[in-house]
Amino acid sequence: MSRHELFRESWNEVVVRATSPNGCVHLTMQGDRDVRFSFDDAWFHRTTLTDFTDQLTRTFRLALVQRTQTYNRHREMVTGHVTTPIDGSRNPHLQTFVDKRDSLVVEGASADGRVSITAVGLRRFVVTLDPDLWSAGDRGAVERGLEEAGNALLRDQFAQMYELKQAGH
Amino acid sequence: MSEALGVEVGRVWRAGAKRMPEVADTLAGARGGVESSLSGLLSRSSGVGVDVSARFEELRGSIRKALRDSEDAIRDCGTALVWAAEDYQLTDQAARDAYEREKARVD
Amino acid sequence: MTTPQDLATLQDQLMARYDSGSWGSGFPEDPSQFGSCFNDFTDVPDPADFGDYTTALLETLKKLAPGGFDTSTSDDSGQPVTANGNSVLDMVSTAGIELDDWTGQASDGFFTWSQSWKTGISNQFAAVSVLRQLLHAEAAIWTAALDDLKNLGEAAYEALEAADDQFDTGAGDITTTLKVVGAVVAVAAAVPTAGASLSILTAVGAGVTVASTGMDLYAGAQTDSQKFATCCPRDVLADLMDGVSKVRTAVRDAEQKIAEQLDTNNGVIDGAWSEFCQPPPTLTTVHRDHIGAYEGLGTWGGEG
Repeated sequence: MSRHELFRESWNEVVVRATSPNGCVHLTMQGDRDVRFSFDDAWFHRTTLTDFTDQLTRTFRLALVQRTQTYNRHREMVTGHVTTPIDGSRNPHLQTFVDKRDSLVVEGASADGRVSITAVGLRRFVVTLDPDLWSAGDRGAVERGLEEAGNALLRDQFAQMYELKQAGH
Repeated sequence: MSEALGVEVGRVWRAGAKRMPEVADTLAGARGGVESSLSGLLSRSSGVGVDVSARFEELRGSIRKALRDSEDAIRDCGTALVWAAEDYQLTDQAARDAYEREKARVD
Repeated sequence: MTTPQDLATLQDQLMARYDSGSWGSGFPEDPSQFGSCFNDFTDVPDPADFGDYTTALLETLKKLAPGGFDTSTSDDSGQPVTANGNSVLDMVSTAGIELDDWTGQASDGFFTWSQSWKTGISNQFAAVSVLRQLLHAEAAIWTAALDDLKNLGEAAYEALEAADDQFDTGAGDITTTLKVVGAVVAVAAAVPTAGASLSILTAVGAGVTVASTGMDLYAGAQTDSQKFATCCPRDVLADLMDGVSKVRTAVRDAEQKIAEQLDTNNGVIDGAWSEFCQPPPTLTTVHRDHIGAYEGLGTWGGEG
């Protein structure tokens, strides 16, 4: 098994955690899949939809930073090679890749379509919840919907990035 | 006094027959480290780097020649000293005895 | 320690990994370079072969040591080696003193010659030390260069795997450190002169930082690195060839310093050969028939 394969296999066991700035949204992600949410119950029932989605999108951004740092550290630990953010200035091909990556639009939705997440370059996130789902106040249903949408978003992200890699920029 | 002369001639013989060869043998041994060519070690066919093998070989060759010439000089000195001792006319028995004793010394 | 053969194997593995990948449109113009990137380095000096020579030279130094080793002499792993001066060499001086009471021209000449004879040996000792240190520097350069190339190859391999991985976004650069690129900075260890008159004989300024006189480059000299894109093989290959080029340049610069040092030392020796290897005394040219006469050993003046 090559070092990269060892890394890839062991990465599946690594859990990344992120918490929203207000401490009420918790996100875990294992091996770039299996996204899970949990919300502070009291906060969930008194917050507005706007505040809720705002805390969610902030959590996504924090999770992404956390995920990248953990991914790179784990790769260094397993393979011995230091990984740093891609430096597009090294050649025009890479810059094209970076530019396309930063403008990539990916999305994911829950199975019933009532929750969707859209991201541009994994920097700007938009979370859309069906008004009926929100007004029902069923925390478990919202968590499940977001988990399904989150997992779908990750799948779309990897699929589109692979397509971008395959296209040779 | 004849005995002292015998001792002196014996010392000349010992210098030529024992000491000089020992020094020469040491130099011959020292030369062992510079006998092997460095060309095979240092050369490369691809042109990568700067092929320094010829320059290394020049330095090695100089050291080898110097050690060889130094050794030859010491051996020639030894031979000359032995000749000188052997040619010296020791006219009395005491001198000849002292000479033989000096030659036979182990140190 | 990486050998040139290791690099040949590694480039075969790179080629095989490229051939087995699924690359879409991101393939390089000439993918065969994965399998030939180290070709120029597969018959370069093998660091593993230097030990036989430098160990033999250490023995030469011990035999020649006019006054023993100072602390700057080390074995191939950089451990200090101490040795007493070789007392056998003093026999020449002693023999000269013993002939001091002889009145002949050749014995007088021998006395004078014997008292300065060891200076020539000291110069030879210094030259052997220079030769050994410069060989160590060569070994250090190739050790670092081959290690660097191996690291480049391994990083390229990993970058290819990441590029071929559907679950790696390709958004990270793999970085590898290049030791040899930082090699051209400082000095090798001082030459133990031990009475040498040709004090200009030197390896100082060889421009290669070696750890003591061992074969490893001084670790503090690491100053450069090579990044590898992980998004497509075209960029991986470009980064690989860029890294190889850096190593190639660094080796050339470092060996140029060694070449200059060799030129200097060879020039010093050529220009002062009689100090480096003292001409034999007239004693060695006196005819056999005249060896005991006035032009040879003469008579013993010790009877007073």
